[in-house]
Amino acid sequence: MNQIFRMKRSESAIQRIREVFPEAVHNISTLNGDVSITVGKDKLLGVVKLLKKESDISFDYLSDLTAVDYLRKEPRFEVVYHLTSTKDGAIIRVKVPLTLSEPVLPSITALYPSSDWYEREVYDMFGIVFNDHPDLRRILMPEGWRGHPLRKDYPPDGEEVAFTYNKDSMEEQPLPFILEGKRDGYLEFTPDGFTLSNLERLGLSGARGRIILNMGPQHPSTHGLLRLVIELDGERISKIIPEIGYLHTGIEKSGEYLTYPQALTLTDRADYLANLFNNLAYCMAVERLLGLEIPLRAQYIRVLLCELNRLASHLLAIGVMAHELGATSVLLYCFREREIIMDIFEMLSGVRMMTSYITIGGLRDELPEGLLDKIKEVPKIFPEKIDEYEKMLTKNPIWLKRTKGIGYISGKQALSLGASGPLLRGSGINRDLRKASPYSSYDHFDFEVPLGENGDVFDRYMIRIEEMRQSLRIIRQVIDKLPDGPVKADNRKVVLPPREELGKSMESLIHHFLIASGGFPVPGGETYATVESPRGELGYYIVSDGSEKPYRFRIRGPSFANLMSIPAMARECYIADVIAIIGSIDPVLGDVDR
Amino acid sequence: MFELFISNPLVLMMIEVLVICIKVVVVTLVVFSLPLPLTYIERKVAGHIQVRLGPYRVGPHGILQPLADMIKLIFKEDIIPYKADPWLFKIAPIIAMVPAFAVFATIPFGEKVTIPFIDKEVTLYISDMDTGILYVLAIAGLSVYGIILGGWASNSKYALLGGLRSSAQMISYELALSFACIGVVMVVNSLSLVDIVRAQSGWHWNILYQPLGFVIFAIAGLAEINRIPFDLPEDEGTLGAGYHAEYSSMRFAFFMLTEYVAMVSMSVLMVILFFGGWDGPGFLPGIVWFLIKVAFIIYVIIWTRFTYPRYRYDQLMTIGWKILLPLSLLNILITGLVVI
Amino acid sequence: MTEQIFFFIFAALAVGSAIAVVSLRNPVHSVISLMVCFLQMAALFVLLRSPFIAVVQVFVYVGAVLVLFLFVIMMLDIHKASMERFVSGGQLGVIGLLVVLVIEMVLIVSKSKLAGISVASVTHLDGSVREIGEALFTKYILPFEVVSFILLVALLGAIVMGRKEVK
Repeated sequence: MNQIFRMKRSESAIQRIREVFPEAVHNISTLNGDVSITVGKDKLLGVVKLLKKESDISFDYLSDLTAVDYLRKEPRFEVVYHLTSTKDGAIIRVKVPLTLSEPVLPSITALYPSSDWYEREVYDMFGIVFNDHPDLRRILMPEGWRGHPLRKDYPPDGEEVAFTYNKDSMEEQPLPFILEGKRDGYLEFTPDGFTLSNLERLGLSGARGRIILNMGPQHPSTHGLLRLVIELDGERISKIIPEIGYLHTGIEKSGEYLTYPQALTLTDRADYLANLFNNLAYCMAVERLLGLEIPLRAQYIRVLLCELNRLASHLLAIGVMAHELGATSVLLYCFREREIIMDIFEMLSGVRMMTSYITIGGLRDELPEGLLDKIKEVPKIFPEKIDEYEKMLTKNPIWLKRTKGIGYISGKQALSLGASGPLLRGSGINRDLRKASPYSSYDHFDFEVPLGENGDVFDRYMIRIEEMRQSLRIIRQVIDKLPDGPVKADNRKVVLPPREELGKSMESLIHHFLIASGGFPVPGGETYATVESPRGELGYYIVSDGSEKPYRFRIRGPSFANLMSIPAMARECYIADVIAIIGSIDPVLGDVDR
Repeated sequence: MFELFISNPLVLMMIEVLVICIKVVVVTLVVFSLPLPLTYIERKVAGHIQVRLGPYRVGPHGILQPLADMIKLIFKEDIIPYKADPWLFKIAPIIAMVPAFAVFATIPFGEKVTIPFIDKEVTLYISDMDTGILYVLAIAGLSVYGIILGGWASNSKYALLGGLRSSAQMISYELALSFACIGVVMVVNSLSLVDIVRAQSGWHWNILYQPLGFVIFAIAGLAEINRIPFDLPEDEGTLGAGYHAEYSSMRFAFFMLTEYVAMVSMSVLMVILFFGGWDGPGFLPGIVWFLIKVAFIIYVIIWTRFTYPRYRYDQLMTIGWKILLPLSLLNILITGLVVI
Repeated sequence: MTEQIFFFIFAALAVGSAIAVVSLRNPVHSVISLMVCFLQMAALFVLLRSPFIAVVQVFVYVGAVLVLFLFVIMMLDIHKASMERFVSGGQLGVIGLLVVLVIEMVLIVSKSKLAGISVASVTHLDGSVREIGEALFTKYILPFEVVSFILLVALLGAIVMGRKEVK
């Protein structure tokens, strides 16, 4: 399914919308290869329902729901919906303008249950209220925070937190944001304040015989700072509520104040186990805005590095899951192999993880000498190691008892809750962005997408093992087929010149200086680029206003949506199974909280 | 003159009492100091299984690591949780520890040895009870209290849950353990541990006569001492650290000590019941064979820990009640038919 | 001689812990005191040359029954239980009952032949396991079977009562 076909599909969908709602559609654009329409807010529900329900259109998956604050424009806000069709990968962007005086929209949770947390985040970050939302409260910022951080008039600086040692020396300042109910307007840390204040609203009955257990945010097995509030009925879980936001560092806000090359370094740190995928998605988005053509060699090496990163990420996922279920030795074996990949990255860029090697316009530099030989070792060593892990786990009766039949979710439910990646494929839905909407020449390579049947923890584990084998297959093909050529696009205004030229050419020096210090202007526009990260659909929605800094730097993290499936999977299971379930989702809190 | 002194009945009795006291002191000291090298061995074995070195820096090849750990534990702050019951909190580790040691009162380490100067034959066990094995099982059952009280006295949800689950697990597997022992008792026709070992002399080890009993005993034994694959109550992944979550410093050290001493006593029991005790070719004294066998079994227990994942709690209980118990009853039936 | 010393130690501990059982406020402390009491009784059995009964006492009473008691007490709300009065009707009734019991006990003990006992006299039975086994399965086989049947009924009853309702 190529890009043109997908665009035509989206355009025909828009024709249909215009038939049904003639006055609703204000603006249609096909800029940068994306199809987007602007709709009035009163017609939003109708349009979205049409897009979802009509059988020949069927945009059944909500990829992303976010907002942009156009401070100097009227209307000020624009809520952006990205709807995807799982049939052929077509994407349509629906934008709804809102004014500051009336930032209210109907919620689409009835149609897309996965919009639950997305709408909470938009409310949290922009102050846009969604009617009929089941539980509209802040998700990333603490309860009681005043102000909406991603608005353009909210300062990017931090404010001092009053601890006992500096409380008296802090000056009284009028602040645009204060924590409700706290004295002096400063964010004060009180342990008692860290309780869930609205138990009834969340549906936790607190009935006799039920214990409310708090798992996290500090917990050895929650894969990061994830808090799970669990209501236990004996040993069984009757209700589980994930609480996120403990790792929120404001990556999206920071990105708006950095130039495009500088913001690249932020992307490594979002999903910190799949660094190169983040780089790739961001670069694809920016390159689309710039209209850059990436040479084939660069594309192939991008594929190579991404598949190495996928191997490293899956190794960690399996190792950690095995460790949490008791088989500690598997963790150490997986890390032994991960060290090989880390060594490759270090040889490549000097950095083991946050390489930022995939840059706007291609790669940061040519591959060092000898690296390709080292990479050739990987498909030689790894297959028997993967067999070793399988020997320890796959046929082990204890492992089977702990993972088979646990954490079941049906394909339909997973899709409606916004799951992607191994979580979705475990339930039998064949959706892999490398096949559905190929990018960076993935369609030049031959590989399979493993699918599960039962939608349980065991299937997701097996999918990861099989994906590792398929990654090795892709790596072998890339090494065999690697063409010669440049690794950077031919646009000196964007791409850093090669180092040898700096000593000889004045022009190169000027270009280098301008790019490195002040960045480069990117033509105005907006685009949404997705890649298939080890956790699922990772997308970057970049809005550019023609300057050197991104106007909106939005990261669509796969784990954010994947975590929404936890309550559905953990119903009626034992508390020990929650560990297995979270391990099988493999969330990385970096892209959940950003 | 000396011989006259010796043959005085009062003096003889005092010598007997002295011998028993020395035995008790020796056994206690040895068992008390066993966990120290055991922690080192466990970490070294774990390291080598996991493609790493284990403790390496403290002393040559990390030999002094247990000493460092002990010093650290002694100097840690002794925290008693806010609303914890102070009496129970302090007593629980001791209640956990004492049964683990008391088991060794009937364990025979070897046959008689002669002390050269007094020309006295000393048996290598503290007491040969008629009801040796029953005593061992009964005292082992008392160790549940330390765990329940430890979990309760901490006044913490996590610790209480861990304590109750651990104790329920231990009680359930005690049954299967005891029934597996009954098979051995039927074959040997005596409850005394010394008789059991003597009956296996000359390579008539009970593992040949009671293979099913051995398997049941091994699995139930692992569950009794809370080791992987049955260590969910201590599972760091789920509940923090279970019943000893709130303990620090020496109290925690006592719980850890108890765990290792229990591991030793379970291995010793296995050797005595199924592997012939001190039976072995004559070129080494009996007690050395005994120690070799015990060391081997301890090694296998550590090996298992770092190989398998752990069972979930309900699966654990299912195995104990629905699989091991009927199997052990079947074992008794078969043994009964064969013996008669 | 030494046996008498041990007897007095164990007996004193048993009586002391028994008093502690009824006088301590915290039910968990009471259970622990009861455990101490039972252990002393096991020791007394050993003094009476019945090691088997002693071990069985520890096995069954301390190892199983008391653990059950502990479980139940831990499920109850301790603070309420320790505040309530155990016997309604006040202290007068209890003291009266106590006086009657003490008088009865003194009368019985002084009239029996046990008044002059010092050390357990060694009987022709040695209380070994073999003896007990033979007696149980030959002379006392009927009571043995009846008791095991009663236990089976109790077991089944507990399981039936503890089952959850089938929805």
